[in-house]
Amino acid sequence: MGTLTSLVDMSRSAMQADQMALDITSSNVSNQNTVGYTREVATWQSSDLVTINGNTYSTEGGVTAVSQRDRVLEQRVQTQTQTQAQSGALEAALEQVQNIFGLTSTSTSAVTTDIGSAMSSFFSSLSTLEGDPSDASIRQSVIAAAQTLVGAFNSASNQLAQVSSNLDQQAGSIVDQVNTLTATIASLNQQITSMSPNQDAGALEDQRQVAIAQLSQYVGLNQISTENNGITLTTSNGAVLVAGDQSYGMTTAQVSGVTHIFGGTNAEDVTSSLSGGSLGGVLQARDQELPVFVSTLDSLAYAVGTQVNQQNEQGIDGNGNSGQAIFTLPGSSGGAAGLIAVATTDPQAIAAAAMGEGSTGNGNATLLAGISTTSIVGGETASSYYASLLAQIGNATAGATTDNAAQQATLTQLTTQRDSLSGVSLDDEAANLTQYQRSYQAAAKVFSVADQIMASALNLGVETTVS
Amino acid sequence: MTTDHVLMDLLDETIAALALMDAEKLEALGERIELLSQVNVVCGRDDGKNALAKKRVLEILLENSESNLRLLERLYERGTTVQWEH
Repeated sequence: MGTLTSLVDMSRSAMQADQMALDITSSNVSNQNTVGYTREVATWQSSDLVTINGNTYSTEGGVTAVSQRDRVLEQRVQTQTQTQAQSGALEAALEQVQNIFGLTSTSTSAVTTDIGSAMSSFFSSLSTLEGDPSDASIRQSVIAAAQTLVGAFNSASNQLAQVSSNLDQQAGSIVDQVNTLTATIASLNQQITSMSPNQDAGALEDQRQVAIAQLSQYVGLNQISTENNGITLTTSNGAVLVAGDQSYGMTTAQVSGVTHIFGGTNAEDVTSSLSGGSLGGVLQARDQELPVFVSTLDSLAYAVGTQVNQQNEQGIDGNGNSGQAIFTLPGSSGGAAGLIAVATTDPQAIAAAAMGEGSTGNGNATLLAGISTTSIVGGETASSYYASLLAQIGNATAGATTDNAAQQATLTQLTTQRDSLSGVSLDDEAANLTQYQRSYQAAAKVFSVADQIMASALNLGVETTVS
Repeated sequence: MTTDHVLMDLLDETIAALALMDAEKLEALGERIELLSQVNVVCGRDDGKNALAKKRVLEILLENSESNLRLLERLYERGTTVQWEH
């Protein structure tokens, strides 16, 4: 049965609840510019009911401060941050590769690039030699053109190796930053767990959230909530980074001259299975994209060098001797673009004459020049194979640019949604959803009409080929 | 400004507005592209490539938006269910 004391207690409880609600509002206002601060709302809780003189009252009017940031939305933002950071890092690396080959978004003409121009000049010089094989200056120009070609191959190969080396260093530096952040998160985990569930650890949880958001920039994560507001973090492939108050630092080591990454409780090599974040993008560029370009360039250099050597050895040089190799090459195509060199400085070493013609003949010069139109690598001529390599690089870079732009816009969208929906009422949430649906429908309409316009525009265009 | 540039600008604006879920702006862009569809747009090779790339960005963003929207709808439904349960 209710008493006067009960009524006084109820009043006091209600006043305390009001005060706490005011404190929460005040905290929201004063922290509105604090990075990572999660807006809090007062959640009123009624407890047991009592009846006094036929009237029913609540014995307690409590209020608790609850972080209303939706964990699901927060995780979506984090996941998208990882995706975007990976696409950004990949795009940056591919742009460097594109620059090595002198490609721009509007120019993909092979002949204007260093290697394309050098190959063209080399075979042109052999055609010129065909006209007057006894001219020493023409012979000299063949040697000079060979040196220019070798220089172009060496330069591109060295620059690709430099990009790979830079990516290697970036990977090491990212691992350091990951380790700093995981140590911070483990420490915050420890503090949060020791406060929960009896004290409000909201500020510490916000700090942890900021650290996890930063970590998402660097590496793909899985996040698992544990008891007492703890969080376990693993890499996307399951290597533990943080478990409770313990962080498991990643380490790096050189394996065959390349930085490998080791992580998890058993320090396993996780290099090939890491994804997400800038580390994922760096590793994708270094281990998946770059090797294809390097190998293609090596194959080209090896094929040109081998074919020219073999043909030169079929002829008679300017001194009347059997021709020798013009280029020095490794035993196989691996590393050929970086190792190819001109084997002689003697202009007479060019075997312009065919067997039986004497040293002044031009039969072999014709065959040497003809290599430019012969399929010598991958079923293609050298220039066609090189053009394919450039197209491959250009398409990869353009694809990465497009993907990164879309991922960046998606991240902006998710961040906007998260911020708009943090701590709002169901009515406000419904209004926001209606606006999002309208936005989506309107954008889908723009896309559909643009699709139709472009289909007819590209057909109407004078230059209709768009590859 | 040529019509193909108008189209590319329009795609850029749509991408930016969809990132911010700006319904009013997107509806206005919808009206603008309807008008543009009534004239012949001719694209050269480079402009065509750029326009296709922008269209692709919008396409990916729309796919992601659809997935995000479904998630938000599910979260909202869950929220209303919880409210009625109490």
